Amino acid sequence: MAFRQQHPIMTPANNSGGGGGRGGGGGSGGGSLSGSTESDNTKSADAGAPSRAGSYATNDNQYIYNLSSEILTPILTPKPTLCDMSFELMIENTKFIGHPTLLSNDDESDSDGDSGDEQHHQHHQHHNHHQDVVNEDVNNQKLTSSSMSRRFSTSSNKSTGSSHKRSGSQHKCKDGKQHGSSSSNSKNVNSNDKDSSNNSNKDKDSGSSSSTTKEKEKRLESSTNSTSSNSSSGSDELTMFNLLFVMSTNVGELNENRDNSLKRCALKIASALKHEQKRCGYISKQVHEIMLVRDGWLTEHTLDTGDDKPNHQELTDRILKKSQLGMEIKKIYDALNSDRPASLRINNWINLHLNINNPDYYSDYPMRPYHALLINLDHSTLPANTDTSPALQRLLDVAKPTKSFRDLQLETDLPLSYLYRLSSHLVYWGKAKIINMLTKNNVYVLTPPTKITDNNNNNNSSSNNNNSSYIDISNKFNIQFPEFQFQDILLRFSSARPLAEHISKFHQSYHVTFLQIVCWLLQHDLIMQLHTYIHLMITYRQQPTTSPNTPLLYQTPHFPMTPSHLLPHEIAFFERIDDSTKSYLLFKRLVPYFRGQHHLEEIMWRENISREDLNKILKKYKSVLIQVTHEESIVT
Amino acid sequence: MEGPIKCIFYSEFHNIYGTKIFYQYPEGFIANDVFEGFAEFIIPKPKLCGKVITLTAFDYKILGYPVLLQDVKYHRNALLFNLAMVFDKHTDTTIYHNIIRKLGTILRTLETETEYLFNQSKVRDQPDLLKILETLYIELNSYGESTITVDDANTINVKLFNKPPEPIEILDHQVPVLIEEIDTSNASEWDLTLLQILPYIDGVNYVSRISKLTEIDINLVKSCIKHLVYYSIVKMVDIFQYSNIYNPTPLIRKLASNLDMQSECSAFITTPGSTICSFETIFMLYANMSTDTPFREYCTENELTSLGIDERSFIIFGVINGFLRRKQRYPILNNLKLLEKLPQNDKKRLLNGNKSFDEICCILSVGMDVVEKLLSEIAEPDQYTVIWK
Repeated sequence: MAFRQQHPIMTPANNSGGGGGRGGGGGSGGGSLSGSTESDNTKSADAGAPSRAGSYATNDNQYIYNLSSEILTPILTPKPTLCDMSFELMIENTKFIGHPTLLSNDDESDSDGDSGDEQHHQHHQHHNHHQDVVNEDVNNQKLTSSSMSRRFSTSSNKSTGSSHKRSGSQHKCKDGKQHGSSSSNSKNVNSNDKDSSNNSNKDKDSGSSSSTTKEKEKRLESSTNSTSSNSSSGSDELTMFNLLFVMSTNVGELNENRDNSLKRCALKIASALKHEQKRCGYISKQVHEIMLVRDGWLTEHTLDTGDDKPNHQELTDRILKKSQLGMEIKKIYDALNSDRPASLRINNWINLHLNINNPDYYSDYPMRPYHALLINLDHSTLPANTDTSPALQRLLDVAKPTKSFRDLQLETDLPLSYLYRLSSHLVYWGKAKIINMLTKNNVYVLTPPTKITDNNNNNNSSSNNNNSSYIDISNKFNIQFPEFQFQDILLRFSSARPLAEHISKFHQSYHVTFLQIVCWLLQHDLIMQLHTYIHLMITYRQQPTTSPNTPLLYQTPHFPMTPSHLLPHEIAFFERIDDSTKSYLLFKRLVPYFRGQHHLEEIMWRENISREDLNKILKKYKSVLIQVTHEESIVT
Repeated sequence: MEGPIKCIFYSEFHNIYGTKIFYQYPEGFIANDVFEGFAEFIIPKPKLCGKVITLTAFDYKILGYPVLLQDVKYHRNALLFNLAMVFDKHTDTTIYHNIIRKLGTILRTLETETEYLFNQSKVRDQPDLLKILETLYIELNSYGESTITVDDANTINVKLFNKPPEPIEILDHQVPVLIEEIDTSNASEWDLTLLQILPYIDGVNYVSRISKLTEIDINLVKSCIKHLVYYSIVKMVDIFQYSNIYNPTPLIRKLASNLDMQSECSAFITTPGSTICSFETIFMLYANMSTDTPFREYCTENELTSLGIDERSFIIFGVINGFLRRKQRYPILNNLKLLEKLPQNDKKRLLNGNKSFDEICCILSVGMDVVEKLLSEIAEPDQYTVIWK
């Protein structure tokens, strides 16, 4: 097959030194390049074909540069001056973010010192390259892949060096041809694999809509000598490693928050891996294992001369089965790519929690005592870590969507500020949501599709973007609530109605379940709450005087919750209707909130009045008060 | 001078000394020892040449386009160079990609034609590279464009373009609405098709109808309208129907506070010849849309016409300004499990609850009047539910 010639032989023999291998790699540039463009085409075509939504197919925004790893790896393992700090590199539209980490070793200088003929400071590239085609329309910020590269230095001592060399050349004679073809094979497989893994991974992953297609592939390149010969003289010493996130970006789509989050994640992962490498050589062992798997796979494929495309997915699956590191990388990738926090235990030793959402983000609408904590039902069995704070456990035990923070405060005997912090913690890690306490007055409606994309763009939504596939969600629904029909529930929430009205249509015995359904829908972002806002509108005879350079009647405050001041013609109106009654005084007290920025619950809480009192005012002065119902919004 | 570009430098792979900065402006911005830390990203492996490479390091973004030229006259038979720019690390450098690529290509042309780089030290009538770097630095930073004549045959023309917004897809059933006046008094300057289409853009005609009325191919009409949308002269709205349901969005706060928008609104929605009703009335009418009633019923309840308000304009103004949103209807199959096994392009998949009736009409190219019947056939033997969202 043609691809056999297209790709360079990566594996340099030890005796020719690193340079020779590199040269060989560079030599066949032309062929490889064309090979990669070709696979680019197949890939994008393939990405479109099986897509769930037709719009994916016509999306031309995907740029994937299928660079082979012997080109990428040197550039992704930077010099020590760039190590131990965040690493960000962009090649055309492909961005790499990582945290190159040096594993300083005292005897490193020794091995560097005697650079004999036999001794090569060699870079064995090991490369896990996961790539992913991303639908930029749906979700413009997804990770496309994570990859890992490492730099090894092989050191062997002088006395055994010659034998090492000899064994190396023998090995080369014996296996040279085989390895040659197999590595070129692997290179090509690399591109072909993307097609196959696109499909298979997609199937597996159809639940998360954010990653339209996904490929994952691990490729290992190493000297044949150090891995396949059992020569005792060679020992791999890991001097640095770099775990990278790879994603595609579009012009003008600078997402610094996302990048910073990823840098933070990379730093955490790197620290954990570094610790494990130092403690017990975790990376070295894992790499060795992955290499064995790959070598076995390569051998099989060399023997198999059929015309079928080499199944790279199979290699990935095998590595995932064998290697814990591979599995860990997959876990991180899967979680972060679907906007979920990742929780894992590196080498069963180091707890690692990653979240792509920015902890610095504050909602414009802060937590209030009338809010409630909606704990994710799917996570009802929260990992009962032994080191969980007892307060958090207490909160988890008693929290209910029908209990406001005010109630929780009384029940748990914890200060509100502490409850807020615990809740924020749960929200950040995707275990809970803050909602308005469920009351019969709450109005809910199906979340419009545009709203969902907005949320994702703003990157504050902890949802899994579930709305895009009703198929999966209805399956989940049917398991959870077998007595109800999903479509019927959606129909009920098609028009905005208060909860009381919904409930009145069910028999009493179903009320509890129905409330659970409401929570479930809220949790999955299928419905949103609508709020009522009040606008004070007083007729003015002449155009009110505004400052010359702004057409605004009144300034919307920077922080939307700031109460507003009255305008001259409004003050005049109040003087006119002043009858010193109780309701007039209350009206005057509430008027700063009648600029459409505060919803009813907020006003009630701020002024500590009951809904009845508020309704009385709204009724009495309805000639100048206009009520509007719409969703809460972070856009002001 | 402050500008986004902090430094421009030219780097080359030297036969003996390796990758070095040959020229930079401002002089001395990058120290040699610092440069060594990232030199491998400036002159990378040959296969990475011809690709825009951005490195973020040392609080800067370094944007370069390495070029490889092979010829026996060079040492090692190759010339490797890179003209790179340095930015603050927060700058969005993606808009400079085209510039950096073009500069690299021009230098390569200059080199192949006149050995411009190879003979840089020789005296000749072309400006030297440092001069070019300086001009680029000053002009790009101050004007966002630069023109440098190198010799009779070669001129460097670069201009910075902000990210062009993606042109939106124009659908058959959408209605273009003019939101800005077009002065077509000098008709010779305008595109002929556009001039023919323009009179039909009245906020009523939808795209395929414009095509029929003007007897112009629908694709031409679409591309014309796409241009108008791109330059924000036209906005696209859905077909106005009395059966539609509209709801206010949080953007309605803007209407409440912005006097310009208020007077614009009053002028836009009032039927010609009627007296303008007070803004409070108008605002209350918009606020009343909070209840999910079809517009037809809403009109009867609120008697818009008797208030001198044009019903269609009333809606269009809200939709264009984003403070009204149309609730769409989505058919959803009662037994969604059926869809799991079906191929992606199966017609039943239209009933997955995420395709609105408008979209489905477009996909099946049928009118609203027959689509429901058609969908019932598609859904056979199952049935579908219509949800609003």
